[in-house]
Amino acid sequence: MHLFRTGKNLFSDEAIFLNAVRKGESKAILYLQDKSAGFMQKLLDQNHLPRHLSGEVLNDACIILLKKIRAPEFELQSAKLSTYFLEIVKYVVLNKTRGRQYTRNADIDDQQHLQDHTVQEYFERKEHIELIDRLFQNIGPPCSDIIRLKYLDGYADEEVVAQQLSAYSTVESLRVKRSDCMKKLKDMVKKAGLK
Amino acid sequence: MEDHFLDIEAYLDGRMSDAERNDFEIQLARDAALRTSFKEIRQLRGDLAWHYASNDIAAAAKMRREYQRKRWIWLTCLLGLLVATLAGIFIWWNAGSSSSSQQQTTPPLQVPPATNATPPANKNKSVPGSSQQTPPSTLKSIPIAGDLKKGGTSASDLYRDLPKEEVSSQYLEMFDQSTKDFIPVVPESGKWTAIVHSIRTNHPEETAGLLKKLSINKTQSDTAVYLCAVADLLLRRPSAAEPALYTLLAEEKWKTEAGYLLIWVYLLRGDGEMARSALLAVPAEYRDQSLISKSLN
Repeated sequence: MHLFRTGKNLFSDEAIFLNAVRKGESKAILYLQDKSAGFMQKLLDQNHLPRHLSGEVLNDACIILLKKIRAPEFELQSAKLSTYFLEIVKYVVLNKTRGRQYTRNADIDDQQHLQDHTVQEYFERKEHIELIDRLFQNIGPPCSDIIRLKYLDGYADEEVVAQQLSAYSTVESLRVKRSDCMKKLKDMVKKAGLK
Repeated sequence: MEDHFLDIEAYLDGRMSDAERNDFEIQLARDAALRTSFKEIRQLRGDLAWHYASNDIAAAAKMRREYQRKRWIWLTCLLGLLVATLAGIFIWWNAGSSSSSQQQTTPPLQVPPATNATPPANKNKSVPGSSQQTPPSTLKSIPIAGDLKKGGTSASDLYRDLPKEEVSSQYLEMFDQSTKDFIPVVPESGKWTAIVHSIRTNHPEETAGLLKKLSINKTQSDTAVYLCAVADLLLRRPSAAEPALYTLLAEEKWKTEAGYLLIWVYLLRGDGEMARSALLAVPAEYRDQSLISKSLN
C-alpha cells in the first residue's frame, strides 16, 4: 500500500506539498493517500465498515480535498495538510456509515456538527458530478484549454494573452471565446438531461 | 448569453468595482433571466471544479496502477531470476556430487573385450614381485583440447603429449628389447611412407608432427590412430596410447594388433595382471606373444 512513502523528503515542506496537491501532482496525491492509509483502515474498523471500502473512501476524500483547496477562499487552518485531509476522511467515512448502513447503531444526526458543506455537496451531487465528469471529457480544444487556463490553472485573462498561452491575442476575444465555450458546455449539460 | 456571461464572470471573479457590483446586484434582483443565467454559470463553474478534481485523482490512481504493474513485473523478473539461480545451483551441486560419486565408484578399466579373450582370473591380485604397481589410469589419457602441448616435444595438436610416465623397471627391459626392431603393420608406402619410416628408424617423436601434416580425414582414419598409438608407446606414454587402442579394438581389422599393443600399455604401467589378461586376447604366435607370455610367467 505504501508505494509513495518515498515522497517523504520531497514533500517535507508543507507549502510545497500543499502547492503540489493543489496542482494535482499525482505523486503528491498518492503520498497523501499512503500517509493516511493506516488511519483510514483504523477508522473503517471502528465504524464496522468493510476494509474494501478504503479505495473508495480515499478517492472521495481526495476529490473533496482538491475541490476545497482550489477554492480561492481556502486557507489552511491546521498546521498540516495531512491533518486536514484526515478530517475529510473522517467525514467521508461517517457518510459511508450512514449511506450504506454498515453500522449497527450509528446515529448520524449526532454527528451533524461534523458535517462539512463540501462533503455534503459532494455526496448529494455525486452522481451528477460523475456524469458531468464523463461529459466534460468530451470537450475538445480550444475550449478545453481556454477553460482549463482560467478555472483550473487560475490564470488571469491578461496573463494568458501576455504569455501567449492561447491563440487569442486580446483579452476581449479570449473572453468572448470562453463565453461561447461555456455556452457549449451548458448546452451539453442540458442535452444530457442534467440540471 | 455573451453579455450576461461576461458580467456574471466578472462579478464571480471579483473583478467589478463596488459601484459596478451594486448595479449588477440590483439588476440581478430585478431580472429573472439574468438570475437564471447567473445560477447556471455558477453551477457550471462548480461542476468544472469537481471535474478537474476528479480528473486529477483519476490520473493519480492510474499512476498507482501503473506503478503496481511495473513493480509486479519487476518482482516477477526478480523471482524468475532467483528461481533460475537456485535451479542452477541445484544442477551444479548435483552434477558435482554425481561426478565425484562416479569417480569414486568407477571400477578400474579392465582388458578390452575381445572375441577370443578369456576373463582374467584373480585380476585384482598384484603381480608377485611387482613393487611399483600403478592402477590403470582412465581419465588422464583422454585427449582434451585445452591440455594439448603440455610438456611434450611434439608439435601435434591432435595428440596429447603427456609427460613421460614412470615405467616399471621390471618390464622396461623387456619392452625395450621387444620394440627395438618393432615393425608397424602398416607398410612403408604411399602417404604413410614418412610416418612409418619415422617409427621404423626409431624416431617416434617425429610421428605426431608428420601426422599433423595430413588432412583431417587421414588423421581420423584408423591407420593414423594406430600409428599415433605406436609412436606414443615408443615414447613410453601408455596413457596416451590406451584410448586410441580401445577404439581400434572395436574394429575387426585392427583388433589383434590393438590387443597386442595394449599388452605393452599394461606392461609399461607395471600392471602384469592386466597384461596377462590382455595376452589371452591375442593369438598364440602373434608377434612375440610367446616371449611376453614366458616373461610374465
